[in-house]
Amino acid sequence: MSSMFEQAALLALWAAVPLLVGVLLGLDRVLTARLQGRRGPSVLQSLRDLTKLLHKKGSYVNRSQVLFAYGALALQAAAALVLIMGSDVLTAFLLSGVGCFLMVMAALSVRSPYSHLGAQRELVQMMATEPVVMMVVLSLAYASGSFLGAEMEGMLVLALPLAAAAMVPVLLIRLEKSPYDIATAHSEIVSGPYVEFSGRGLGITKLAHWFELGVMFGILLLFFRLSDPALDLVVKGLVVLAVVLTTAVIDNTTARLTRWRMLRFSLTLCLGAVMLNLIVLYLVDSGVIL
Amino acid sequence: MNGRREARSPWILHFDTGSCNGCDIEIWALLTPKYDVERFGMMNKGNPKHADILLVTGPVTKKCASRLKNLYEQMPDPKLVVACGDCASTGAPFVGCYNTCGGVDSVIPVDVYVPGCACRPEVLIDGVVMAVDKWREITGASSEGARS
Ligand code: SF4
Repeated sequence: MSSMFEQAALLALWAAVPLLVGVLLGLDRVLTARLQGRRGPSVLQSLRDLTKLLHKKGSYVNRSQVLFAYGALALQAAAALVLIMGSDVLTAFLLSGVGCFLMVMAALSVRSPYSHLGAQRELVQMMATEPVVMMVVLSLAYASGSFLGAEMEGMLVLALPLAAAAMVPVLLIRLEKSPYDIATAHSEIVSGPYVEFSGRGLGITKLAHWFELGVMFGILLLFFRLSDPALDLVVKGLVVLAVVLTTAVIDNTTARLTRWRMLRFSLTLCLGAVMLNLIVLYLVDSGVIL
Repeated sequence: MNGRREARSPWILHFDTGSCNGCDIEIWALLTPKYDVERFGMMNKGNPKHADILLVTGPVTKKCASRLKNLYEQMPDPKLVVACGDCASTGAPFVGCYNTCGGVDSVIPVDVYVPGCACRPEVLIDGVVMAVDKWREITGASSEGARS
């Protein structure tokens, strides 16, 4: 009976992922505004934007664009469900990766140069972050001895501090901040793969992106698990808030990277940090050091 | 009730149809910390497909007319147009000029006229709020089946 109750609670949590991510994005907008000396919108603003978009009919360029967008949403939502249910983390990661790729296809299915630029931007973003997240998932599995999220017990961050830290730049890129959100760039370029979507279609792609962010935050939270459920919840909440605050501060106090530098940064420093962590852990485990 | 959800998130597209840039600078001032229109949920989107409200400045030069129409047609319904400044509202001081159409409403329907040369940011905010009220009316009416 209790397991059924638990499953229902997890399902409810999955359904609430867009709400939680929406509030986090709203919080990010408020923090950004305060850092810029503005009052900023309400924390619910991102949710209001999404509700508006989903209720606006809009138009679409062709059917494959719509199909790919719904496909991306389905895959990202499935990835979030797999992660929340405590199943295979690698499956969740790969499903989410295919979801990102469907967004690329959606952008490529339109004959518009800006949309194609957006598709390439999404591809570069995948190239920069996917290897890092892949290694993070592998190191989580190595440290805990299982790929199942439910079996990743304890504060794995203590064994894998560098891997957890590498998730922060990944989230910064996935939140579409540096190097994408450039105030001086043309808005067609800043819009990225979403440029040719409007109304409900745009809302669906946003929702897919929110589930994708949910998966990324979910993978980060696998580093922090405590046996006491209340304490666990508090620690996870604090971690998410700290990450949102850190990304907002980094975003507003550093210059924008170029795409090329982003790629070099994440594939050398971030990937290197995760690898180093894994090597050290291996040497400690096999008794070579300490 | 139905229009409320839209009214809290008006996304803006700004188009200059040959203004002296006086009104455009006032529109950009809305984004600065002093006026900070994002606190009302307004965002400058610069993409007709994402926008709800079109802010137009300038008297609409003959060359710009087709582009203005094109942008307007690309915006998804329900959409609103705010003519910003005297040029956009009436064509003044370029009335009768050989190369201008004489105001935005000679090309596309306008919902709100914001006066001033240049229009002040405070009045612009008022104009957008009026547009949002009108939006509420339209969506409220369409939800009751009075408008398709
Ligand atoms: S109304 Fe005045 S300030 Fe505005 S565009 Fe026309 S001339 Fe320039």
